[in-house]
Amino acid sequence: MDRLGDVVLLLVLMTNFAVLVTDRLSTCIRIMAAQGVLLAILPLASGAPFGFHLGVLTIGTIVIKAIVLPRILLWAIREAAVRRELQPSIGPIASVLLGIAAVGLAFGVATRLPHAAGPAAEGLVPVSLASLMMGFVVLTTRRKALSLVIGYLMLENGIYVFGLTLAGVIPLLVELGVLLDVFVGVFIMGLVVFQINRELETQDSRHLTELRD
Amino acid sequence: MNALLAAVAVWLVGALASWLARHHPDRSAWIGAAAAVGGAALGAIAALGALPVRDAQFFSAPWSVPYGALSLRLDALAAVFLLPLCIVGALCAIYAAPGPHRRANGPSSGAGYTAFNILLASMAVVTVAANLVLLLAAWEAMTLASYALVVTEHESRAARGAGFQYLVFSHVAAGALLLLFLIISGASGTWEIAGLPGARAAVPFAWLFLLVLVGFGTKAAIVPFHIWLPDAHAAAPAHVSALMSGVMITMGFYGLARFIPLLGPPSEGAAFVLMGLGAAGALGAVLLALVQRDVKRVLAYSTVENAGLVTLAMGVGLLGQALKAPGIAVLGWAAALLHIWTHALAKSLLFGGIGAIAHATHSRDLEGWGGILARWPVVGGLTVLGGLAITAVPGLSGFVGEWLIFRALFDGAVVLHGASRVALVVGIAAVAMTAALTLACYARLIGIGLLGVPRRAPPADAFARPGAAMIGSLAALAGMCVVVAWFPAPVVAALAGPVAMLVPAGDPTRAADVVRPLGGIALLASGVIILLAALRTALVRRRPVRASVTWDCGYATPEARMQYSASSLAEPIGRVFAPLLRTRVERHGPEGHWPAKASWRSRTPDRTMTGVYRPALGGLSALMLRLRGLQEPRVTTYLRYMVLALLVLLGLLFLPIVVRP
Amino acid sequence: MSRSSIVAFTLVLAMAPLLPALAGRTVAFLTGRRGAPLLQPYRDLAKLLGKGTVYSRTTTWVFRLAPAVVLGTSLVAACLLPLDGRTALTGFAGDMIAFAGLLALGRLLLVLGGLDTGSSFEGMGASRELGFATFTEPALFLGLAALALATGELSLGRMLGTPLGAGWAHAPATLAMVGVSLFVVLLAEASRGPVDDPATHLELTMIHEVTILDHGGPDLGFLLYASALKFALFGALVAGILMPRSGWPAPIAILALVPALAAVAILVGVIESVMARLRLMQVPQLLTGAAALAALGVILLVR
Repeated sequence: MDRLGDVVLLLVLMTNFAVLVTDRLSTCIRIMAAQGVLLAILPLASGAPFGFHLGVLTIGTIVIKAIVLPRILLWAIREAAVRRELQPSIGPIASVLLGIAAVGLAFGVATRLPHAAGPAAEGLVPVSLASLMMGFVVLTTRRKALSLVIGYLMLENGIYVFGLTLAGVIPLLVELGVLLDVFVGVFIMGLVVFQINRELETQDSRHLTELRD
Repeated sequence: MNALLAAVAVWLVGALASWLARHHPDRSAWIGAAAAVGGAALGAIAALGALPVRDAQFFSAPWSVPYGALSLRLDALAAVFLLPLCIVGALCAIYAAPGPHRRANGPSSGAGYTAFNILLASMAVVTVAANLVLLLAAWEAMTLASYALVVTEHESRAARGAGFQYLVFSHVAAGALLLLFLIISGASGTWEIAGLPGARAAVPFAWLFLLVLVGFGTKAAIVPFHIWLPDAHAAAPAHVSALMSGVMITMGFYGLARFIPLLGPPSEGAAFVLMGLGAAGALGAVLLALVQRDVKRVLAYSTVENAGLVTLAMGVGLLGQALKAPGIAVLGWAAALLHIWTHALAKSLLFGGIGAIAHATHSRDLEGWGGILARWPVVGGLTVLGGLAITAVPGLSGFVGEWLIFRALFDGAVVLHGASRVALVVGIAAVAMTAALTLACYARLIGIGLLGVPRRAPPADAFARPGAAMIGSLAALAGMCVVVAWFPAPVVAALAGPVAMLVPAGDPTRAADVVRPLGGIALLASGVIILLAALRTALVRRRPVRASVTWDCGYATPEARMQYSASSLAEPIGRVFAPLLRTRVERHGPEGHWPAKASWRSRTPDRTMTGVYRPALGGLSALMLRLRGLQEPRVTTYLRYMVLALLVLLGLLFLPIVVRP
Repeated sequence: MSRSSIVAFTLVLAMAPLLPALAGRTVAFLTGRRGAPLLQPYRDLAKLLGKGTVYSRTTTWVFRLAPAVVLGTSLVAACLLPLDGRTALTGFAGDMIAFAGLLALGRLLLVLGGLDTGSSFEGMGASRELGFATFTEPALFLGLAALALATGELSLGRMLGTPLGAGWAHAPATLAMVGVSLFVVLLAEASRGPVDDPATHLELTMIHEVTILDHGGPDLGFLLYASALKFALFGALVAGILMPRSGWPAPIAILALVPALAAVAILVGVIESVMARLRLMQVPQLLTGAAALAALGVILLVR
């Protein structure tokens, strides 16, 4: 992995931290859009040979992760009229500390994992693990349904980075399938958020327990 | 060795004599104080003699107790702990010496000196005991004597409660020690400490380490075994708190330093445990110190914090040994021992000064203090110096200890790799935050307590001329705080002997070389500050200097109660750490159109107590209540129990696993 | 102690009051005003040093000693920084701890001097100063730890000297993060926005200004100069990390300090004009972010 790829990976980490400290939902969505762009250029930045495969992947990622998904989510918050994550169960300082712990753990674990994909994956594995764990931090500490979608996206981006370590092996179709999967998932979640909001007049996921038959 | 035996003898005779004279409080106190000082002088001679020497001095006499022997061994490690014991012990005795300024405490003051002398003697024996039974006996004597001192003011319910709590925790710890000694002496077949190494106990290292931690860590106030300390220190008289805080807790560290190497080869895991407990304890305790209202509890929690720092440093020392990095190990152990010394000096100075002020104003409530420095300049000034010394700012002793801890952490982080590097960097961040919080804590204690104007009017006779004995003892402590900071190299060089014992592979003189430049920085900073102060005086001399009121923003009738309070000063920090502290606030805001009364009260409980011990002890006592059913008001029932117990014990003899003597 | 380090030290001492003025001038420019002349702080200092003072009757020697200690500790701390990019006036392994300790001593006396007046205003400032320091201190030390790990050195003079170049070669991300993190620390330590508002005129909203509210004359002069010097020191620290100069010829390395410090001051001014002051409870969050950045830098070096 050469220098530019490392810089992009670090920026991915930084965007994760930015989400952890931000409570304004629209900002969170924009940060995730920026992360989508970063993920899209990551293979190019780390020096993968440019070709049809890569071109489709890059453009597909940008379209879905940086344009379509943020649009849907922004639409959802506009319709649902939520702006902020009001009651995260832990404050921003504690979230950042958890994030740091997650990054530390990820780097520690990554050195102990067998390198299936060779030295090219050196920076990718820890960053993907860290994104995964930070996604879990968001998922477990936020309460608004939309924040949970963002956490899910973060987690998924972590998996995407991990997938890049195998970029040479996986056929294009599988990757595009994964992208589409996420797209459908977030699309449905956006709709669900909207519906929850209309039915319950709240987005607090704790109220979902009231939906029992 | 002879000097030490003489010292112990002087202390014990002094204790006896002051007990016999207890009906004449003044005479009894004089005898007790004189014996304490005389014994301490002899003990200090012994300690100074043994400190640089590589070989231990031995003394042995038969003792009728089974497995026991009056065998003593004075080596460098013992001397490190003996020296502050003698210095602080003597100065505390002088500080409390009877004089015209001190009101008689009634008959208990004579008994108090009895216990004080026994405490000194028993601590001295703890450091030199070479036999496990003797060590345990001295340990127990130390606990009981200090208990007697804690409940000196036994008229107060709080003091009795604190004393009982102290007794309970001490005895749980003593139980752990007894178990530990039984296991390790069983494995090696001897009760002499010298014969212990080499033998492998059948019990895994982790269990032995846990027993050491509980047994000695309780006395050393390592979190979470510190819970007895704040109450006990707050209840005891000032000179006793000083001795307990500065010296008695170090007996726990003596135990750790002496026994951890005996358990087996140094282990990385044990080092991490010590570092973790130390860092968490230091941070948690200083946060609690920051929110206390009772001045003596502030100091008590600060003691727990410093104990945490020492524990952390010991952990670094152990880590260095486990990873075969003797350079790091030397720095870690030297930092731990040095911090024990500097803390003993600064904390006794503070307990002395703050205790005298509390005595004079009849109040330990920080919110009522203020303006002490202007009204009682000498005692106040010495207390300010003590506060600066313990805050670890350059130019005073605390900085040298804390600098060495930082230096060990930084050195280790650069040299070691992997998990150790992470642990050391986390340690750096934790100590940095602890240092900043300590600064806030003492800025609050001094700034609110001693500066400004009194928030509550002190008694008319409060600020009488302080006695020469008290001032002298405090000034001596303050002087030592300055000397250590300005000439750190010789002081640290004196630690080379014990460090060489603890880290045989290392170069023990390294620590002294490392701290040498600090003296230069202290002198440079002092010089620059003096020059600037002189410049300021020269600039101001020819100009008009007026005295006026503090800027009051045009408000017509400012009064003393409008000053910033200690609680408000700490509030922003408390709010950030609210999830950890769980401060409870009772607030009754002003109501109605003509609000008359409003109140605001906050209380921050120690969460180890409310979260761990209370529920655990509650569960235990519920369990015990169930056993009550076994009791019946009939003698035959108990006879039946006795027969049953006898039969069970006899039955054990038929089992193959029991080893018959 | 080399000739170039003495020259650089003198230069920084002389230039220090310029930095707050430059930051202020930037804010004025960006908000469409003209602003005070750049040399105004020098005139202010000269005037203050020639004035008499007024002391509150509640104050003691602590209040009178505080300005000398605050200034003295900053001066000695300056001796430990390699201002010419290669050597410090004095230094030893572990001097970065002394650097932080000296600044802590200054802070303690500043706060005690404030509390000595018994005023609620000063109490408020002291409380905030102490609260923020709780978070700047770990950030500073984590940054120093990352520097130590990246260069393998234990003194400021070496960390920011020749080994720094090698550090940039194998740990560029860490050093960049430390630079940013220490810049945030600078904002807090030098009492600049968005942590503090140096231009505010309401006691209740100030932090540094209100802690020194009752000082006047030469005392105030000392404190203002010390504050400017602290700004310059952290500026030099950040500049020293982001711009390793040990390979440059000595005169250029020293002269490069002028545009570097000016750039830091202008950046501070830009930040002050585009960002509102943070709510007091949000400052710890910002500083934790800085500490997190430095910690991330350390994590990258743990292998």
